[in-house]
Amino acid sequence: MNLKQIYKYGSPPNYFKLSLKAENWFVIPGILLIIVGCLGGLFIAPPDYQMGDAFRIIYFHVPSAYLSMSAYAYMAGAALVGIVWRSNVAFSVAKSIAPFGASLTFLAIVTGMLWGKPMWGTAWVWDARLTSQFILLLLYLGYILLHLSIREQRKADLAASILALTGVINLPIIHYSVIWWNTLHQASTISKLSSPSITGDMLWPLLVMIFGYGFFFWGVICRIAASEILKREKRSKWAKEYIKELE
Amino acid sequence: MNIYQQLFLRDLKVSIKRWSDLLTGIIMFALVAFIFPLIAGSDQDFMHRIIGPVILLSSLLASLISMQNIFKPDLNNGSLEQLVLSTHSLSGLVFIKILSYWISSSLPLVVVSSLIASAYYVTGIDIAKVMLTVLLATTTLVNINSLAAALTLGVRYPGALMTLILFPLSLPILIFGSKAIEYSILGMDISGPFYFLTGMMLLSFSLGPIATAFAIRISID
Amino acid sequence: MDIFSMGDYGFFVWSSFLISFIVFLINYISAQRMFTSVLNEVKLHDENE
Repeated sequence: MNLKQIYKYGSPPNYFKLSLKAENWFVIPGILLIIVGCLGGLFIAPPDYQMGDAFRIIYFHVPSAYLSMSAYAYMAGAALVGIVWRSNVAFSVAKSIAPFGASLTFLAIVTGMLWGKPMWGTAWVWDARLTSQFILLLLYLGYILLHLSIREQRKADLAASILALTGVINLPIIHYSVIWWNTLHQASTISKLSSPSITGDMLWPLLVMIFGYGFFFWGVICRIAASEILKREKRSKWAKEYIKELE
Repeated sequence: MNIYQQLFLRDLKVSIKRWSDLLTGIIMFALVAFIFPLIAGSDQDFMHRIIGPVILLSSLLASLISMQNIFKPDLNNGSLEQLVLSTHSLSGLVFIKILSYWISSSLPLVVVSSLIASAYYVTGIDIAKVMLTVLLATTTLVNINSLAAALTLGVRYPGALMTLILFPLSLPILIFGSKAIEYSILGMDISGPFYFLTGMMLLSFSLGPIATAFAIRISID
Repeated sequence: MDIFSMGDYGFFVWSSFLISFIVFLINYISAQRMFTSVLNEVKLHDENE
């Protein structure tokens, strides 16, 4: 594989054009997959033996939770690339991921509450997974707030990237600390909340939704990252040429 | 006397001169721990159950209140910039700064925690275990505080940001620290939490100064 | 309607669907609007040069 082909997308104009072209290749399959997943999950999959129709919330809850965590990992990865290679493109991608990642975390928490209330009578439990999602939300918000608070863009990039990296190291530690703390207290809550084993007709809509969420997510990120890069490079020649081409 | 020794002694002298800043942290620590029994009830079992979380929470709040005193005064009088511009390793200099800050701000907390522990009906060797927990936990907290302070050096109103950064990062220390105290009082084996706290201390003192130095460089130029 | 009651859990299931839909819609639309506002910003900057 020719590495030069990849390196050229490190330069802002190339990445900008690639993002805009790629956007609909992600958004449209994403929307289709989500529609198929919703139909499968809400209508085709049979009601669960234990939980009845309420288990269908899993089709919204699990993809959001999974994507919120992997998005944070991508953000930290982009932050690392930005610091090491001083890449504006990488910093733009990292900055773009944060708001959508935070929304996904919010969705995971809310759908989790909507699932917990009818199922186990309580909207919130202090177990490792819920606490980690909440901490993740705080980490995202801290990242966004740091970007907003520091006026100079280069400083904001670097400072927020450090936060993202310390967060990504800390998240597993926090998760396992809470698990450890919980196993000493009650095992019952954990077994109550363990995911039921899931097969066949119930499984495929879940996988479809996970992929659908992922594709749609990256489509939106393409658009936001492109805006961010254009904003940073508004004084450059390629930006001016791009504007002229539009007219 | 090399630069590190000089910086260390200078920082200690300066923090003694600014004793009122130190006192803010100590008073916050003592008062928060003091308020709990007054408003939450003071029977012995209950106090034994809450002393772990109370002590860790008081340390967290005390460190939050005095966070800006780590670097802001030196930024304002120009000495921080001199350190950055010097040819010495900034990570090493920051390590010394954090160490002296820990000595001046957290060692008094260790002493005060012994008083608080006896006020919470803790007896004998358990008081020493409480003091040891505070000693270990504050080392990591001081490093996390320095990182948060360095990241927000350039921000004008860093209040919400500092709390938002501090809270998730310090959560493991709070969890294991209060567990350590709880185990000490129950007479159980405390080695698990203590190994964790020691491990985090070593991790934070080795990586913390590097990250903090990087953050200072970003915020200053 | 069986679809909407979802065996008495209708409120919870459909709320989850609705809020996920709304959040996705908000993110998508704000991305599009951010792009057009940046375009306008660059155009203005261009004209002021």
